[in-house]
Amino acid sequence: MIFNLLQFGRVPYAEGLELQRQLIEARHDGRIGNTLVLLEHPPVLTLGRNASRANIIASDEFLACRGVEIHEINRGGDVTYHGPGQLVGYPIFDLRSLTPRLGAVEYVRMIEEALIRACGDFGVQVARIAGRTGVWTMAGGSIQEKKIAAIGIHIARGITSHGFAFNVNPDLRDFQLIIPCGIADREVTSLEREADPAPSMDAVRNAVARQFGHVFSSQVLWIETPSDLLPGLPLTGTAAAVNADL
Amino acid sequence: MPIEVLMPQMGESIFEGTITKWLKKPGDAVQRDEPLFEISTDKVDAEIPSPAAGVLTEIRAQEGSTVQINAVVGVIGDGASASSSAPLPAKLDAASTNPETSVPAQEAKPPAEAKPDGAAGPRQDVIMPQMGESIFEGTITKWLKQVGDTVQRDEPLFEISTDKVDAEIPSPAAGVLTEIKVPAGQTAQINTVVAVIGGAGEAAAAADSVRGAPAAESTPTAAPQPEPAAEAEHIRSSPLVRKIAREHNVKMNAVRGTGAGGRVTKEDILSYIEKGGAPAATAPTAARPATSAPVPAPAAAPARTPGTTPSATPTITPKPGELVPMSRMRSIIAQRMVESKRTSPHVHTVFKIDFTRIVKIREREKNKYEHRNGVKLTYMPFITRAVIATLRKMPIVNASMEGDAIRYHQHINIGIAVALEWGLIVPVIKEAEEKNFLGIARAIADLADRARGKKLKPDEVGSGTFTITNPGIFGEQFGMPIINQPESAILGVGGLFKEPAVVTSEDGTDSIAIRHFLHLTLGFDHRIIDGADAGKFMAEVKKYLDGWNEDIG
Repeated sequence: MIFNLLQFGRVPYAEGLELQRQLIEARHDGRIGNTLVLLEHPPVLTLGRNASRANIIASDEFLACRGVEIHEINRGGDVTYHGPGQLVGYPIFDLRSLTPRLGAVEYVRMIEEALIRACGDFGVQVARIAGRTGVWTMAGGSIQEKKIAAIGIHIARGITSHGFAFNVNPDLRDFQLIIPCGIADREVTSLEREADPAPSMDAVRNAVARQFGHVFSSQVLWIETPSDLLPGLPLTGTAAAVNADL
Repeated sequence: MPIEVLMPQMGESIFEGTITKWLKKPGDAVQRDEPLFEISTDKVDAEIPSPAAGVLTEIRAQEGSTVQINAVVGVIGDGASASSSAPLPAKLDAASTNPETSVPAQEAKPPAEAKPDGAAGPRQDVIMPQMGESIFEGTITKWLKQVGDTVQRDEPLFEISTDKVDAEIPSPAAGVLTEIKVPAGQTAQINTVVAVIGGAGEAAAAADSVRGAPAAESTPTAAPQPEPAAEAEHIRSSPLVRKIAREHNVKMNAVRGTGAGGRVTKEDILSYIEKGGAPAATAPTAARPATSAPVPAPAAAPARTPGTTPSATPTITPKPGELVPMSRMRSIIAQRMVESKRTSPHVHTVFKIDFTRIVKIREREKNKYEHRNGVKLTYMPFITRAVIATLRKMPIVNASMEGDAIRYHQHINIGIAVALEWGLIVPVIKEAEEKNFLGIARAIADLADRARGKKLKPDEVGSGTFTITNPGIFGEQFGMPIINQPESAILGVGGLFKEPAVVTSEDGTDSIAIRHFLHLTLGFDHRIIDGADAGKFMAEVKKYLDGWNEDIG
């Protein structure tokens, strides 16, 4: 099996939704194969179907002032923050095309597996915690588990969308705007904080793609120009915007 | 009076079978006991006779589909000869093909049970699906259809949300949404009925389900009113025992079977009659409602996962212990595991190749070659050419399994595995048999370059007929490469090493020499490639490389 890999730079959240919409349609019509989108978003809060507004701590005025958007979307899960330095992945996969054929939860476990292995590539031991979907660092002594990646997916007509948000090197202070995933008693962390030396975003992106390939027993076809895959797709992110922030 | 044709049970532990062929078409007249369709299970292959005379009005299970036993596979409508004298042999037992099966249904079933055909279409319950092994409930976030709306099969019907998963659930059937039992916002356990499609005003629907009509709700609704008569058909006994039972007007389900698998023996029935029909000690098989016979609806498997109903044990296998049907998820996993094992590479063969001659050619030519042709001279085109030449002689290695057939590919499309930071990709040299050495060398260099540069197009991958992978660059001796499905073989290239070797000169003298060796491993699909063929293939490749004499351009 093969999945396509599309990498975009920093994409505004609404554009990311539109991108997913186009890819889902194309996947459903069989115009494209399974496709993994990797990108980053400017600061944004998203509320999943189970989200409680109470889990957003910051006031609307404060968020507006900081330029943080809020989107209510159709994935599972609670409140999530996305921002620069966080690798966001949207696997647009037809679950029926996979062997073994996966249920929704098994699919979530596979995403976790890929991220766990990617962390392992940088010497960071992480694990699952029963009942708390996502990827967590190990607890030790008085130090509790910390969340390093969040997962929330949507499935319609067998096609997956949304996906994961992997904290590579984001500004962790931004997570104080919310109670991530509605879990109040655990902190978030990033690969930058856990790994020594801290890996670059490029290296992490490669590791995540490679481990997705392993976990889904797939070849990984990185298509640099997205319109080669599907005419009409935007060009590779806004490279200029990414550089400006570095 | 239409008669349903049911999937017969072909053996004790067989719960489903595949319909291989319909011998009649809808509209054909059929006589009673005339062969109607053919089925095939893992143990049994049989022609099934028609349960009644009439006209085949409907085929519900198409050829190739696998159906649970007692599922309705077709309907026979009124024909000229459809008289009431036919004792409603609706439950088509496999007695004719397999004497080991249970009591024929005619004995147990009063004709009065004839099923009215649902005017508003068959009632189909919509159940809460199971989203994963350990997920037992979900919240319905939105109904996409309202009561009264018409819905197509597989059209999104409602949305549910569990812990982290959000999904649109397609309708299990086409029809009119007649009832929503769990409104949006409420949480429902898996397998509970959340809505009903069709079956408006069909009070008898519940009773139908006992008969194996496609309704998943049978367990809860029909359990309180089990039909003793229907149960009897699951009680195993001999004709003699049944005759005794009839003569003494004894209901078979009241007798406790002590024979193999709960079979009622002659001693059992005689001792029962002797005791004056004392109620049987809790006979586990008889106590269960008839509904636990496998139900054919697609939703049926999850409907009987543990926790939803205590009567999840099919009555047909009364061996000690609990027989719990696999959840749909479990059975998919099991099936795929088997599939994966079956389709995974089974066999490898490793050959050691003397590469000295090729090493010398390359050392001598490489500078001039790059200057002349603009492409580096590596070992890959040598190996690839040897493979192509051998594949032309042995098309079976360039073939794929397609169902039960073998496709011999017209062209030789060689996939070259390239390991990159972000994963493995196998771009393909199409119609490689048309290219000479230089063409192959250029194609390999071009594909590898473009793979690294993320410039490959989707149509340049995935159409290979044979793959070569070269992990030897990491210093390994040899690997055991995994076949790139649906291809049937893959060649792994090991590392190139200098070794002392015994060489025999022309006059027969042995001496030790330093030679270059390289291991090649063929991973092959033993379903279509015999070990002898694999060995022959590799011997040919070895001969081609050992004694290289092709112009490299």
